[in-house]
Amino acid sequence: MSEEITWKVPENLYRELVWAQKELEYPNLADFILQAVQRRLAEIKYEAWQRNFRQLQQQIHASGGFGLGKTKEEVITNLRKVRQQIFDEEYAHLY
Amino acid sequence: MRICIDSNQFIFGLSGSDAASETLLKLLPRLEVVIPRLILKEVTRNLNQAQVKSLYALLRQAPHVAIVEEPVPAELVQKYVALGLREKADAIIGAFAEWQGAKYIISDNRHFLDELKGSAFEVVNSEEFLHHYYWATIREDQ
Repeated sequence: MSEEITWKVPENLYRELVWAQKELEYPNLADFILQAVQRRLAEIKYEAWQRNFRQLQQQIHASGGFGLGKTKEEVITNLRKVRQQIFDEEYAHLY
Repeated sequence: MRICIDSNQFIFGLSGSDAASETLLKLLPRLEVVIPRLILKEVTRNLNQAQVKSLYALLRQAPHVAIVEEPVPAELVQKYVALGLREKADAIIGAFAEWQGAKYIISDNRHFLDELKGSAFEVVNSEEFLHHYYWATIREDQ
């Protein structure tokens, strides 16, 4: 399914679009604009994802972190204990 | 290139305690990643309900990240015990990576590196992955 739209653009922008379409060898202007819009939408989604990621980091920090230790080694040692605990509780019967 | 990310990378990246792990997580929407349920359980054990919900939402929004619910085949787990991962909990992660066709496990867990011999994948930390594999691939593509 597709929607048809009429889009009025300033003349100088139109000229730039046509220049870019030819420069990048797109078969027509519609294809070029479609891809430009898709790329921008992907960027917007990526930026939104990054914002949500930073928010989650801040929430975790505000609530005191993971509580698994201060050094890398402490965290890894404690995570190994957590892994073993989860394995014993939920997976041991499978293996 | 499909990869598996270990729980320690999620912890370091989300807590911001390791720059490379944080960069790796920020690239999640651009990576093909498989994660077994066991790893997510380790990561979320000490998070509150709202934080768990946010983490799952982030993973769902990353187009090529898959959370795999199915149990890893038992014979593959046995194979990884025989390859050196004596703890079955670690062997599950090794077996998972082979089962899912992952090329790398990204981890700071030295047990994988020290004990594992002859696996179908490579174990690297996030810095090595970003430096040698990810950025190199990006450069090749350009």
